[in-house]
Amino acid sequence: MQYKSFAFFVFLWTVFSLIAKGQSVTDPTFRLTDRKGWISVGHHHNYDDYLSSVLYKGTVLAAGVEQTKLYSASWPYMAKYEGARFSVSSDQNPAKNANMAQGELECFYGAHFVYPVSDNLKLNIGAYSQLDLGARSLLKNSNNPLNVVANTDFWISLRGLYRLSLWGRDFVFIEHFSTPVFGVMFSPKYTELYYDIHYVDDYSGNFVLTTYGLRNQFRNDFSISFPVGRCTFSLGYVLERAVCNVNKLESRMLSSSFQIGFRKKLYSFKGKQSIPVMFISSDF
Amino acid sequence: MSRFLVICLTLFSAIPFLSCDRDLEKDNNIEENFESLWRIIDERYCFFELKKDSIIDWKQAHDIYLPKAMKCTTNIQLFDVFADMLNELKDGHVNLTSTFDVTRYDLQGEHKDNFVSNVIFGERYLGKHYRKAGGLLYVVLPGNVGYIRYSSFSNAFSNSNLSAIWYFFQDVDGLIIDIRGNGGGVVTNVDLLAGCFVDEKIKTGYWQRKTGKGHADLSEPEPIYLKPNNNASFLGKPVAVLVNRDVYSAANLFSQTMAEIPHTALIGDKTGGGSGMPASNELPCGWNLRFSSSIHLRNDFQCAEWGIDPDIRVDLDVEKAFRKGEDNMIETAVLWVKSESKKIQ
Repeated sequence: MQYKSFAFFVFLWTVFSLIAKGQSVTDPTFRLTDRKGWISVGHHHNYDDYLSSVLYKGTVLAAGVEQTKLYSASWPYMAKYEGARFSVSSDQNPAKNANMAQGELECFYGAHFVYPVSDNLKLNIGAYSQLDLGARSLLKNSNNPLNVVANTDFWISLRGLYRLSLWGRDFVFIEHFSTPVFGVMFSPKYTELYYDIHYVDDYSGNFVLTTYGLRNQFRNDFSISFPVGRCTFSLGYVLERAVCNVNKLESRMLSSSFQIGFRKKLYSFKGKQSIPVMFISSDF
Repeated sequence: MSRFLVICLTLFSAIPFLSCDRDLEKDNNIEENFESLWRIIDERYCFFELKKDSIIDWKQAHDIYLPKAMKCTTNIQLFDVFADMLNELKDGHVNLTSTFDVTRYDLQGEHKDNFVSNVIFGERYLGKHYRKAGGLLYVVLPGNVGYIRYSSFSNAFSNSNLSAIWYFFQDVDGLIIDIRGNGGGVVTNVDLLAGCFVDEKIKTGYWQRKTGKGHADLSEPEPIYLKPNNNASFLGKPVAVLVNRDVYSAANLFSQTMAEIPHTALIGDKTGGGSGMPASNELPCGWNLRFSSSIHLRNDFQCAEWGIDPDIRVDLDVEKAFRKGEDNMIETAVLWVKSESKKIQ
């Protein structure tokens, strides 16, 4: 059953990725890319029942790039969404005598349907697949000092963009909420050490199909973009929460960060054509 | 604009409910620390079912030790109460570590040491001119028998070290591996060393882990195998393993593994045991707790937690050891190796 679910997930992931990829191939005549690079710093909670029964609190540092590509002609309302984030966190136990460190790379790829509610307001609804790879470490544990973070999920994504002109500048308010619907994650079994997995060479039960209930997570990213000179700066607040209960092992994560970054719009097109006005004046 | 704000506010309104970890924030007081300690062991310790006739009922331990803990006025007193409760489990892999002490169960008890380090390092055996490859000390004993002293499985060695030793021992009649007093260490070293003595994969026992919080929630035994170490083989010659009550954990696993290999004998006293793989957790006060979380079984499904009986039972003759510098356990092993070597030929 587990292998069938996993195969079904891989199938969906592949189909979705191919559809998203296919857009750029079928209609390459005009493209508008909105690229954003950012760094963030904030407060972090980490709880991993596999490593410790107490809640660790500390700081998270993250950096990322993401871009949205809007296609013209036959697909004016479809935008590809892709990017990567890397975060490191260091958290301390309540007794202040141990640190839990975590490093994680997240790569995502998907698409949004762009729905223009009005000239100033656009709503995006879409989905993307995300791969998370990393590790959590608690070095004071001699036999279980590390827990791997490895999961791939199918996220749904809702985004609203509102453009407001103030003092002769365009401010863009962006609210982006996303949550994974289902996925596959790696987890040791209850009380199983990584040595056990290697020694017995049995990975059954270590790759678990997750849905709501087993793995609840959301990411809420609120940002304001505004032009300063030739650049467009972005200030934001990102809140991410994950609660996972797989193989009778619970983990929780809370990240609350302030973000600073910059955005850049790039236009590319073939032949002699003008940039459609709706794209120049619009965010998506 | 108003619609957009409504969406944002709706999303933000969910945040306080989702971001609450208050239930995980435990007070650092005696009761919370006691309950954490008791619960971690209650839910994760793997030997309750196997030891149910030989250790205290864990709920009863709670009722006995909680009042004692509540009377403590210093950390040291509390630590000692916790130590007493944990020692009820009679398990050397259960330790509580603080900045000022580590609890430990007395494995040796009334049993004999059966090992005198000075004798091993006397001229009759290792002497001053022994060789050392990684964590392995070695020498050829009179009678043309190779002797390896390995005091801890935490001491690292590589295949290159092993190859060098086997080259040095290429003309010996057999081998003695002395692991007396070896309290364990890195389990992968067990495979690395024991794999030298097999030319094909063999089953050395079974593995069982906890599947849930109940004391009897244990998985079906899964077989574990020893694979040949093709990079450093020592085949076709007898191997004697010297053991005593201090042979524990990884060293006990090594004894269990070697017991399954032909032309190999355990010589000495019963091993100390420790067949559970330990895992760690912690208390709200920051004290680190180690406990057995999965079980090793022998090929006959017997648990080696209480030790492994030797093939040839010998105790150290202390008088001979101190007066003559002679270790009669090594001498017994030499005789066995010589006799077994003749049988193989």
